[in-house]
Amino acid sequence: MKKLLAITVLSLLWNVNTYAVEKQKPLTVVEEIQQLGIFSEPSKYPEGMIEFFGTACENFICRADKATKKMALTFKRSKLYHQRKPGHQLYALAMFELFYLNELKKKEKRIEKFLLGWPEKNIYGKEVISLIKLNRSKEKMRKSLGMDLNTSIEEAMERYWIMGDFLQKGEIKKEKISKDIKKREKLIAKYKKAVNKFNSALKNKEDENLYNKIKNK
Amino acid sequence: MFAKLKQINFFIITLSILVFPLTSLVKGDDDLEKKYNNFVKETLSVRNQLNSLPDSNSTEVSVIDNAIKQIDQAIEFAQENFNTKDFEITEKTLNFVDRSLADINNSVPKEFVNDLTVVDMSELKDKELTEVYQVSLEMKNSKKEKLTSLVKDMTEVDKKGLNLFQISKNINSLGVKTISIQDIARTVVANPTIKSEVLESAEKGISPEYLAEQLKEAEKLGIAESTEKLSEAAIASGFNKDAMPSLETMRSDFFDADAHNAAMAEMAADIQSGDVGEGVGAAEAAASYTEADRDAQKAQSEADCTGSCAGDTESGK
Repeated sequence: MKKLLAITVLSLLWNVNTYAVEKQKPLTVVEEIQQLGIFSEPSKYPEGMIEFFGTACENFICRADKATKKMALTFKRSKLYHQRKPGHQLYALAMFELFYLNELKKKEKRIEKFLLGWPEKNIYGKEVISLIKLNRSKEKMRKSLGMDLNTSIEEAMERYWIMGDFLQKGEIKKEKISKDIKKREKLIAKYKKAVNKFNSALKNKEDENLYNKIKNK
Repeated sequence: MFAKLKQINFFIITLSILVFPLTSLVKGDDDLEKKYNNFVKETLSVRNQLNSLPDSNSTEVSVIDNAIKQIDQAIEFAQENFNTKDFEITEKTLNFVDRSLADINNSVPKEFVNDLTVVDMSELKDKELTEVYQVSLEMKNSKKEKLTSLVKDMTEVDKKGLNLFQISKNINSLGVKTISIQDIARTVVANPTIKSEVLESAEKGISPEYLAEQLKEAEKLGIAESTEKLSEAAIASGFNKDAMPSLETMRSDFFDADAHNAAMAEMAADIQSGDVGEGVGAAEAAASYTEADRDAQKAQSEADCTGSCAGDTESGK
């Protein structure tokens, strides 16, 4: 029995030690879920966004759906398109806020069920993981404009939209670029993407552990 | 017989205690190993393609080619450290590579340039002006924080055997604007606690005399910046507690609109170069999530929740 106890303690210490060297972001599953927020319809939208929705689309569901479609379309556009329409990516970030909120609304009950069962059972774990991932994306996007998860959705959408409008006010100038430069530009982008992808995997090692913890329950 | 069973029981318990955490870690490591292999394959392919490009007479092109070659050493060092399981140093080295590649990319002439100097700040609405001011201010702070963190990383990497200060100096001397000696000097002046170890590392790659000269300059600048902040606060007094200049000040001639426009242009470039790309990717994937995927997931979830989820619909109502 003593041996068993010793092994248990050693094994626990070994585990604690393994994780101790990693980053200082040890949020528990429940804390992560608390960070997802609670659904509440936005009290106001940026003026430009209301114009985009039009008069026939006034309720939240219609607006969120329309915004999601537009957002997906914008994100899929080429780099050249974004260079020519620099504000559009920021409008899409504002729409991402609505998309996230809609996902939260759709999965709210499932999150409740998950919390009721956790940590004994894993009910709707996949949905919870997908929302955590989306929330991380939202956080990263907001950070690019000096906001965080505490910023209200109304404020975030407004800021994205204003900055989008501002970038649209600039004058797009076309320069002649040699083929040699174009080839290198493409390869540098590819190089950067490969480095970024792997570096993100290293940085997100802890997140992956959290997802595995939910999945493997 | 009973003793033997007890022994078997003990063996099974011990094994499960040790093996369970190991399997979850091994799975995580397997995923990372796969990602690492892809990284090696992709970077090698890009490097081969870059090396096979014909030489050009253009100075711009040769600057880019030589700057990229400087990165090779850091990539190899990151790989060596990953292979010895030093993930921390791998990550810190890649942070440097990422920043250097972004700087090289920024030095490449672009086909379309958004000229924001044409924007007339006096025509902006109050709310717009305030947001532009705030965002550029926050970006300035975030840039400083990122630089401090990177300089710390470079110091840690030097301790493990690769002097990134030297590589950075080489890229700068080619004509690509990247982390400069002035940047390093300003960082250590602003963060005295890291000064000695950063200087110890930096001096291995940069002339100590030149570094000392830049430190003096940075110290002078530090005093000047504090004075500037005080006068900014004085101008702002009466506007709000966050020392925000008044809207009139922002619209006036002496407000540095160009600096704020430059910050905005940089932000646009950051977004284009994929700094939020990962998030965008996740959103794109989620948005293109089809009904079929949703049905499959619903069926799977229902199978998983063993009766306790009855009554739930996809919409959560």
